[in-house]
Amino acid sequence: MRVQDIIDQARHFLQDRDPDPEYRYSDASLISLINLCMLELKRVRPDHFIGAFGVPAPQYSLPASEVQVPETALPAVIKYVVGMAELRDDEYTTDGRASALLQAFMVDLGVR
Amino acid sequence: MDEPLVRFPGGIVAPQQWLDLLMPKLPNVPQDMIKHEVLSVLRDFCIVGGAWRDWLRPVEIDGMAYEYGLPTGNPHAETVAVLRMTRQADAWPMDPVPPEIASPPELIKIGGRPMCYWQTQPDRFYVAPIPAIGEGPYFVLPYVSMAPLDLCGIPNWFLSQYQLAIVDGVLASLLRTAGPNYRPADADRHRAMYVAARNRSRTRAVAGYTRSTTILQAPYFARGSQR
Repeated sequence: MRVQDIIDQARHFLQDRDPDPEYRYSDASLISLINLCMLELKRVRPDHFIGAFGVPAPQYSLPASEVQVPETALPAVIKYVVGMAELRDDEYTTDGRASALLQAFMVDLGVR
Repeated sequence: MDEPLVRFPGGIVAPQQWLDLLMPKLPNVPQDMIKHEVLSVLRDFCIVGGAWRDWLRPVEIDGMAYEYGLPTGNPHAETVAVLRMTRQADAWPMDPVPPEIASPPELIKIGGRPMCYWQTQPDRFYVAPIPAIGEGPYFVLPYVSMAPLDLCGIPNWFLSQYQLAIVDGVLASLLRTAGPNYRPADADRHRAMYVAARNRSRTRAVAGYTRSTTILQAPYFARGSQR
């Protein structure tokens, strides 16, 4: 799965599918959340990075990059990105959704 | 940083069979973690249990050299220890000598057929005596235990015979890893079964498949009135 696929999935849940005049959540802001998720994932589930502990966690800048975590972790990544995006203070967000999604991220990874 | 991660530079490859056996028992554990653990357990099983044994090609013992390498001829395996050494010409089983008593110079004499051998590291061995220049050459056949370097070179018979033991070993380790599958009581149960299988393998490595159990029997003349 590519970074763009995660962005598309996240926009689906964020109801942010209309690029005209512009998306509410820019590509850059969602990619930065994916990068944050990689760091969080490495902290709570280091086994997802086995064989690559000698290098920093992957950080992406291009939508075409391949996301290099096991495919079973990708639903949790999407939940994290949407949850963190929902934390942003604007008129469309709800705090309840944000905390539920961030909790679901941890549950999916088997941490709580 | 968009470069792809290189996870296993050594080229680890896991047969589907291992993953089919293990993944349903370990939900939420990444495949790479399982592959890594399978290789670790396989190596332990071979190094401690001596499960993978084979004759290597004859090694030529030439004049004026005590030390020889042990090429496995298999790029996916390394030698762990020499279990037996036989002279090829007359099938003479050479004597293993502990390295600490192999050092005195009177043992390392020159001239004659190789009679004994010893090892100080897994991939090399020494012989004594060594043939004099112009004598020989002699060939010796090493029978060694080996350990896999990756998962592609494991022979089929090994899989069929020790598969469940390896699965027990992997479960023993991964069920003790912090995370969603942390179940120490189950891990202990699997560990006990793994160690028992490894001990059985060790017994086979030492005694072979064909040797019967040792039964002590009094000599005929000593049985007294029971004759």
